[in-house]
Amino acid sequence: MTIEFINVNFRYQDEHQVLSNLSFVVEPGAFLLVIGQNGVGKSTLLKLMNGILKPTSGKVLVGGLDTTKHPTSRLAAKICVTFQNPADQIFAPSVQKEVEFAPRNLKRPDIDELVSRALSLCSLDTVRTKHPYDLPSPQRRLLTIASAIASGAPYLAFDEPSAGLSQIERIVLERLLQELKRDGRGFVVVSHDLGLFLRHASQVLVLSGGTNIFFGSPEDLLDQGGSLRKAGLKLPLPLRLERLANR
Amino acid sequence: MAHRLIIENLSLQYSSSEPKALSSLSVDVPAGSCCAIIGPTGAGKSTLLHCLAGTMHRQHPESVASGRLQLGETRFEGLPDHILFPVAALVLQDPYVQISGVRDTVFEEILFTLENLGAAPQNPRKIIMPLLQRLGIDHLANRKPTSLSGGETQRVALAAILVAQPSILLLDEPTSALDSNAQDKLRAILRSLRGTTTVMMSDTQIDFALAIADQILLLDHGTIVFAGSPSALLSRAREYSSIIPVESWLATQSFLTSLQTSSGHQKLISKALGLQ
Repeated sequence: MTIEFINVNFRYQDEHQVLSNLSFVVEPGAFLLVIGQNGVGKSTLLKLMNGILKPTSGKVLVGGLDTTKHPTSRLAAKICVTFQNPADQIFAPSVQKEVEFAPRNLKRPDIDELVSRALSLCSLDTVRTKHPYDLPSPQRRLLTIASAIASGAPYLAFDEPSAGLSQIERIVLERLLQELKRDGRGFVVVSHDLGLFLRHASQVLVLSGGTNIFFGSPEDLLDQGGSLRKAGLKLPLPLRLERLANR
Repeated sequence: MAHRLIIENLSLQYSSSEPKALSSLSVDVPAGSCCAIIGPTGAGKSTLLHCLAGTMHRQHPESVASGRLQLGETRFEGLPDHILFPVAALVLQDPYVQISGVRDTVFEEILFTLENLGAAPQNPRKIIMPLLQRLGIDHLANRKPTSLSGGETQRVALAAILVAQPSILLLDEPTSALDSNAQDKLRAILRSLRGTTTVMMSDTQIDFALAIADQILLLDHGTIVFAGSPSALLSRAREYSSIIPVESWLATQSFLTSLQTSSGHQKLISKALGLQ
């Protein structure tokens, strides 16, 4: 399944232009990392992928489906998006019910299996009967990720999935990414956390001024360096060290 | 004016049937200094900040506290039963909750704080615009507060508190949605508050905490396992590797600087520190 952005422009109703003439293709099973400064349109980009937002002009095709012609409920079977703020997403009275929601609505045949695996990947199996709001906020973020995993969608899109996570949950997140990548699941991750995600990415999209100033492999991004500087981003220390040590 | 903050033997349970979320904490934060709280999820970082802001009893009426708090000259047995704003002001972990939603622009949202305090100045632009500029969000002044990105919202929520000039500023994970540029700006702001505002902040990014704090509290399961200077904590990093794994230490500039002299990889590390 591919995700295609073709000359996409997006303007909010308050006339604030966010994305301009954005084009790129994400291949099946790829791991796309989207980076850029605060407010550059990264979250908007994710919402365009599942049709919550429609492009002002241009086209977004998800698995061949034009997002302007299909409802989000249909697109969710192809790509499941988590929000930056877990409170915007969580609504069910228990962890179990929250994770069951997507596969049930998408009429997946193997709901129990999908839910159990998602809970176990996110280390939430012991809290499945708890109310989501009784969980500490890092676990609530993992819950939104578990819900997406359980949808069974071939592409998962996460908005700042590591924000506010301590090291223990970061390890959980990293392990689940590795495991799902082995299964052939594709990812689109919006994050400031280059230290965690750059090593998993197969493609990186750097947004600046509403458009892509770089689209390519992490290696090319690091080799040329200019795009990061142009986007006002810095490489985290461990990555800088690793690169120098490998030279 | 900055207040000294003293916590004496503070314990808290969310209800009498639950285990202690905070257990016999004692801390002395000198007026105008910065204290950073670090530790794993569930350690009690946010709980402590809510206790200090006076929001604990409001949000959890069934919570049970013992011990004493002193903010400047004001002493509390147990916890305050009212919100202490603007003497002590908390910027919440979830900035979306903090945006009022009743004002049309970011500028008005910040002004709303001053209006609520009955302190709206004659020319609010003179106060608000420089503050937005320091946070790197002056270009958002006329935008709708509810239409912003996560990192932008986090800075608007911070501005809405900073404009009240609290004596004690409490920050719960203030860097969670910020890009590296915005983090640099926040660091500069916190440095400029030194001497005039007492700051207590929680952060999972220990690099930020180590760079800004005079005192670090390492919490685990509601108890203080370390309290002292950033350099004292770094010198004992190995002791606490079960609470803060090595990967986290490696991501800190201060830790690498301390390694520079001792590891024999001086050149490599100084290059990494200098490289963007």
